[in-house]
Amino acid sequence: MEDFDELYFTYSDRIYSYILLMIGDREIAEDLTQETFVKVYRSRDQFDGKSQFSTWLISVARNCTIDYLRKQRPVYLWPFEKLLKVSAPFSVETKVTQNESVQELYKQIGNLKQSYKEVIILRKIQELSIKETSEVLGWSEGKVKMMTLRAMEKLRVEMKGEVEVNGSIR
Amino acid sequence: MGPLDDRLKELRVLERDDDAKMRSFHQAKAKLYEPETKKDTSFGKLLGVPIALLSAVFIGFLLSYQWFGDNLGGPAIDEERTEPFVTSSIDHIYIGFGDSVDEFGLHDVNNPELDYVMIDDPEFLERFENDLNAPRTVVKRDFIPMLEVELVLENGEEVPLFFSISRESGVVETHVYQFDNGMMFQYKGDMVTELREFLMAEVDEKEEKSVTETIYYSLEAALQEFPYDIVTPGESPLGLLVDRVTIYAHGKDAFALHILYKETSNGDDKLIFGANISDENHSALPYDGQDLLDRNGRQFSFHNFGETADLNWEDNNFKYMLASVLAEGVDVGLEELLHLTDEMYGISIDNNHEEEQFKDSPLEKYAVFTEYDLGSYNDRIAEASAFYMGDDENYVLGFGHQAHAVIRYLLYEVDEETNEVRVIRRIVDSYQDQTEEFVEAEDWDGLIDFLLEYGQELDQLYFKYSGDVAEEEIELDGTIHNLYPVEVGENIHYFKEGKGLWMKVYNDEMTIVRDGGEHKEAIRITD
Repeated sequence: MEDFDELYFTYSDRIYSYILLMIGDREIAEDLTQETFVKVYRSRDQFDGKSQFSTWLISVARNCTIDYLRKQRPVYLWPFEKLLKVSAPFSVETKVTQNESVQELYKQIGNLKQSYKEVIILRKIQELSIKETSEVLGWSEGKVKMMTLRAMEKLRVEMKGEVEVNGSIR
Repeated sequence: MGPLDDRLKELRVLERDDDAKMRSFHQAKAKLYEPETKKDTSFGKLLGVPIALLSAVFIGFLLSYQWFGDNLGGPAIDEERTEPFVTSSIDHIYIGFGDSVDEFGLHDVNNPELDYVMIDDPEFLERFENDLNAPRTVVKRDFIPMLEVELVLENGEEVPLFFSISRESGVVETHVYQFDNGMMFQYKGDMVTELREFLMAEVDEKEEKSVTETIYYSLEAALQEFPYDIVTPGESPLGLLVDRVTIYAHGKDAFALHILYKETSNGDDKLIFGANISDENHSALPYDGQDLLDRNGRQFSFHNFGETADLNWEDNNFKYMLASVLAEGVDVGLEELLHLTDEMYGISIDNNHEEEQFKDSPLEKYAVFTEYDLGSYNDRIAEASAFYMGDDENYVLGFGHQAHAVIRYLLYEVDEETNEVRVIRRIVDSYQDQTEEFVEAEDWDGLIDFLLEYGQELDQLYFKYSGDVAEEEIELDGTIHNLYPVEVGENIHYFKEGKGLWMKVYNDEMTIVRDGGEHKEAIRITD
């Protein structure tokens, strides 16, 4: 059980942050972090070593998050792909950092559509490689590259709008 | 990389409440002690809606029950048990839990078996047995795990337990969780502290608790013990310095050499390698997930577990392990470990193995369709492109940005007869919805067709090879590069063998007038 402790204290902050960015609710993020580590530990024999362990962890965390989102939706018969197009009930009021400009960035990410949000979180925040991101999302590497660029462009536009509204450069 | 990228990185680890983190940890650990429930994946689906309805009613009932129960005095209590919990006398007890064992100095990372401390004092066991068989209450509530205890009974039965204590309103209780059956008992009193106090006394009496003796050698002396020159400080292929060498002596004939390396590039005191040599089996046992490979006549097994990776091999009845042990933020993989072993065996690393592999066409030699990123973030001539091959070999799709401001699709036409590549279509910052549909569907051929039909027509040289043109030696940032020049009007595209487009030099009037200066260069920013 000691290896569970090491696993948790090594990775849980990162996984929690990933889930919080996806969900936008601290309490739910804690619950899903907990669920992720229980699942990871119970299925640790299934890790085949072909990918980075942290990538596998994020995949499990993502599955937990998607499962949670699915349960929040009243329409049970929606296909999985359709679910991914729906944004999480993101609470932009959740304060995640003391840095105001980064907090603003967090809010804008929350406003992006789900596929943009996911690719930015994985590629730019979690700094997964294109290959790792493609494994987690089940996309081709080409799609990851293109969606990253598009998502970043959209985020820049949103951030620029924010600057113009507030009249200051953040 | 732009400022937005830098700010995004700050979101990687967000602020987190320590109490919530620890609560999450304890609850996760408690869940691991609960029996795993199997999901019905077939019949259950058919019954999904009725079960959901029944569940809703049942949950409503539970919530009501808990609400009134809470207001009528504490958590719901199932029953009080008086029958013996331990039906056979306890022969001995194992106690183990990393943190608590550490407190008594019994934790030994080199011998996991020592994580469990045995108690076989008959007097203590009898009293403990009586405590366990005392009246107890079955409860369900959150608890803080403190100690793992395994009872070994005289009848041979092994009973793994998990002990925790709670203090509420001045009342101390011990909660005992049983692995597998998911049931938790609650006893009056504090058995955890009692067990710990007993352990403390044991430690005081038994000085020789550890079987492993640690001897510190000087670097020179340690390296003399090692059959090979493992590394000369400062000359490691990874730029590592030996920081400290420890030899663990295991009895008379066995030892393990542990060499700690420092990463020199950033000056951190980060330990990133450990190397062990031992004639014991534990350091080289193959286990699941290992890849086996041959190199220079030796067989290595490689295992990658998350941020760590290790390489194991056997030589002259010694078993060796080389491992990256703390690699957060440092990507130390198989190749780096193999390079270190090469150096240990005095095998020079062949850096020229990539030569002679581009014997085919110039397009392959200069890797013309390799993804590139030119120019810095604020540079107006910065650009990047990734390439996608369609089914039609005459066309290649390029996708990227221009000055980090607009998204750009380019269609390249390839003529392998003349070794020439030309840009024939372009879409810049338009048709966004249509192009995104192709991207979503990963339909590159569809996107190529779309560009052919709707893209802006142009005819611009991108690459052309001629045997009459030689590579040029160009110094960039203090390094000499051999680059192949392709004149594109007044501008020049420079390609590097095996790497693709390396630099663009703009001599055209429009760029010079716009940006000032004699000419502008956009240089590759990633290898």
